[in-house]
Amino acid sequence: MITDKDMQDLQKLARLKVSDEESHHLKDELNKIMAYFEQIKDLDTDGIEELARPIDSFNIFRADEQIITYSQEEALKIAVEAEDGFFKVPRTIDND
Amino acid sequence: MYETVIGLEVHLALSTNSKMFCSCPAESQKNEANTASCPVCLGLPGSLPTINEHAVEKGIMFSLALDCQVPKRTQFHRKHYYYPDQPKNYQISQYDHPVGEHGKLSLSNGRQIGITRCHLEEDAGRLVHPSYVDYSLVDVNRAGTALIEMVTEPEIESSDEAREFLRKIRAIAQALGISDANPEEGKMRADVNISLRKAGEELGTKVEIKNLNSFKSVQRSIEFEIKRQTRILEDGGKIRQDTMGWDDGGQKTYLMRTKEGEADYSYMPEPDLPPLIISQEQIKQIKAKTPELPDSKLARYLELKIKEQDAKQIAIDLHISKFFDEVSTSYSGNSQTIANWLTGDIAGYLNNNQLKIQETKLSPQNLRKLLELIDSKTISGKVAKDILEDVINGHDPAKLVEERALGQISDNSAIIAIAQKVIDDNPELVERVRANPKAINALLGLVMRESKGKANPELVRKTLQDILA
Amino acid sequence: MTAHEIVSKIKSKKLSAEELISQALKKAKIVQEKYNAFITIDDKAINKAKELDTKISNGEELGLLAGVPVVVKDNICSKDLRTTAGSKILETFIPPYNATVVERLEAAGAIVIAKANMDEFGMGSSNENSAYGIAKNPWDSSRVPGGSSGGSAIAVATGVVPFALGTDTGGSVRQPASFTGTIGFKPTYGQLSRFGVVAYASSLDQVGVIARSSQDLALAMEAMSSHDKNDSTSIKNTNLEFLKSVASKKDLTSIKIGLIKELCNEGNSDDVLGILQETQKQLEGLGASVETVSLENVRYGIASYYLVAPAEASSNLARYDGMIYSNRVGENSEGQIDIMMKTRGELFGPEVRKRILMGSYALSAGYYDAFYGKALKVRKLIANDFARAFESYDFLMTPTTPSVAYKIGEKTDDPLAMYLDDIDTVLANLVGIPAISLPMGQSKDNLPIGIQFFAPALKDETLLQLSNIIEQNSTNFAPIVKI
Repeated sequence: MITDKDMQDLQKLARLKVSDEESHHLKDELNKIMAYFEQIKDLDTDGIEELARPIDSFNIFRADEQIITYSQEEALKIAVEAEDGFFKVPRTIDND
Repeated sequence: MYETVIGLEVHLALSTNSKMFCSCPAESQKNEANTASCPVCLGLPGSLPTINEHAVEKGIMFSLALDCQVPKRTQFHRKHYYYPDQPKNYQISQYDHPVGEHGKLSLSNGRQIGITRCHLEEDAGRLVHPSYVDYSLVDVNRAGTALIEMVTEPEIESSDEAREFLRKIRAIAQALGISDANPEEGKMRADVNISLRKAGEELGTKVEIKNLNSFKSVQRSIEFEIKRQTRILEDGGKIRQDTMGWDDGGQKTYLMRTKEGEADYSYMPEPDLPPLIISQEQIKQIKAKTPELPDSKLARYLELKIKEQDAKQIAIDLHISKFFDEVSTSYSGNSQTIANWLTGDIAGYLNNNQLKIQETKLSPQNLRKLLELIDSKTISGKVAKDILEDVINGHDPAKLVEERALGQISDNSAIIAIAQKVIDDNPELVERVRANPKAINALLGLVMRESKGKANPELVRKTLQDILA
Repeated sequence: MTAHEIVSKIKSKKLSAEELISQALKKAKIVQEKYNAFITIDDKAINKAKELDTKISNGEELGLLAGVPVVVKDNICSKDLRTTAGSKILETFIPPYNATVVERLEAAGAIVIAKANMDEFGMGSSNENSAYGIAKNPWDSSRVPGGSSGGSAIAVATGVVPFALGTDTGGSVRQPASFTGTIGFKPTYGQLSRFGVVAYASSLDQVGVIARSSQDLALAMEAMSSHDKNDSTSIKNTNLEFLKSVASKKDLTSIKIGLIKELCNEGNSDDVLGILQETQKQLEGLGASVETVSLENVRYGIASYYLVAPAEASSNLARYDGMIYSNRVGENSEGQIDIMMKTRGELFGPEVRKRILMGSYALSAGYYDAFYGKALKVRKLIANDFARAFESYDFLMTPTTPSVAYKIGEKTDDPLAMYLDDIDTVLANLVGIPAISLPMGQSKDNLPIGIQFFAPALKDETLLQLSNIIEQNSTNFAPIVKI
């Protein structure tokens, strides 16, 4: 059961703020959907591996060669905000 | 009172041509911001990663060198966390079955430190925080650079051990050619996890120390933390699971943030990258290509009867050991002689001028020639030291000797002549020598000066003794 | 005109590219007015047409798709042409690069004239979740065209273009095709490059094609399908020869088709069941044998899909945070965390917000094994079922969707109701096999009904052959809707 606290935590985890009303509403919807998923909880999947990728290829490599793609100008063309050759972002507290 | 328990987390920037998951040039410190980017490392919509072949090879090589088990099957995972220097807001890293596990590294005190795991991942970009403004700046040049992360078991017991451990890792990484591994250029970063406990007790709460940019600061920060934590525990207090930074100016750790439990990275297998199957054949091939490790070089040098301290100093440095090996293949004299010069005058010169041996024009052939000139008594040791700087700057010592007429005077008649002159010019000194034979060194010095250092000292001494006898 | 006919007329100089593209753009604007099929119409396409005409008059060699106007779903990057993925957060994003599939279409001479409307980031089955307005079904404009590739389906159904690119993560090409009476094809996973395709769920996404003619489908696949080294999930040796094989079979003798029992029962509307039966008869008439086969675990497809897809989506959409290139809400001084939360909260639509939170929950520490991990195992069970069935059958068959296009607004209140409609289509994405929806008839109310066929992985050509055989033996197959 997803609680209101879970909804607050999820918003932080997903960096996605919703209104209290929506949070409440979504909580109910998610619980409904999660209840539907209960049906797979009891399925016997012993010895079954996770199918994370529907293809069975492996060892797909790229040669270690340099290719120059974008100049600084080209790279910054897509910037929301740029300054002095950098992407400009809101103040970030130095983490690590 | 308290045992120190230390674990290290080391990041090495791999010396590949291109980034881990795209073909952009791997970061160069000298580049202007945002000049090495593409849709992939910018995290543009629709971009997809591709695995750098060499990076994987280097990762496996490093793991093998640390005695790790390399799994048959490995894959990449997404590690999620939001930060502006991480364009996709997840880092492609490894979670289960990393490229190396359960390895070990021995220290000189005989202790073995367990290596929990080695894994491949991509680096984040760089954030710059100008002062007094409400924004920060992002440079993605470094984003996507190939890294190997190595984590040790909490088995290191002192700051000395930590420092030695890091030195060894650096030497191994350089010897293998997988990374430049110099902390000053940010190619090797170490985080420390440290806790204290009373003998026999459970592990204490660990404190993490980050932002250490030299081995010295690793050592000092550990020593500081031991003191800080001891004081708290002795006062009956509790250690908090903090993340500390190291203030090099004030020589102390400072609180960066308090950790509230473990971060949730929501690991997920990377769906855009198929797994890697590593065959025994491939491991064999990598082993065959692996350059010699420092410990193996050390063993060789000890067998050559080189003094232990010198052997260690040479073995641990990739370029010095390479140099040594090249000289000793063609030099017929005593290996210790080479060692003496490398760890003595040459090391001194390099230190004073803040140079690495590979940055000079000193060639193994020229060093060999210098040593041979001494051995054949063509020049004296003193003259050799005088011309060392020029030899380091690329001059052929044999040519120098010729051009400057530095050849040792070993001609008896010439030496007798100079000796006689000095004796004639210094009667008081001669009296003193007759009284005290040890004072002959003063006369010897004068003869050497008169001959501009070129006289063969043993011959001079003998000649003086003969004349005065 | 079909793409084949266009290329032929262009190459024989009976038509100029400029005329053609000009007409297509005109029609696109009319369709836009009526059905809101597009997010961006590119008037500059006329310049590309003029360039092509110059090439033609210079006698230069022309590609497979010379002069063909195409529409591309707006979650596929088109260089220098705005690409929004149906979202406000990319409202002003102009990609500096082309998706590989677009690059290849253009290299073959096709001309992109518009970016199609879609459910935001591919999340939806009705094109009601677009930040650029609801799209309408040309068969009945009070109804949905299907989604998420609604715009692409409308463009083909109304004859603006002979084929359009969409993307299919859980049925987003096949279902709108079914709702609009067109052919909707999802290739084997890895058949078409995903490089440049805005990711929704990486292990499920695949570019798909909507068309009205099987031969056109083959033409498009021929131009786009080959290994792409920029996509590590791209199939390496895709030796498929679509053009050669599409018309090489005349009937379905000795073809065995399995009707998936669990999906062909009362869950479907009467109209759909009716068309299903007629299709079975038609197939038998062409020489195929059709039997019922049970795939027990398909009933868990929705649960597996709606755990896997949102989980991967929450990861893929993490990058849209207002920092580097996506639109930003708020002042810098509010700090990075608050800006991210505000930006994503305000610029993502409600369905996207829901699925991101759902996906984050499924992936979060402590829940991985119970949800995402478990869903991946169920996925394997379903894959095993299909593998077993394909030992006995060349194709498997179900309705594309349990009902015809519903009224706009009809299903927006019950989240599960809309999800459950995907029950037939998600299977192909979960397992990675190719699937096609063919317009096999209409309901009593004259609304299109699609029937879906699955083939084993890498057997894409066989589905196009099947499509062609049915097309050649039908009247009024995939008609253009008069506007």
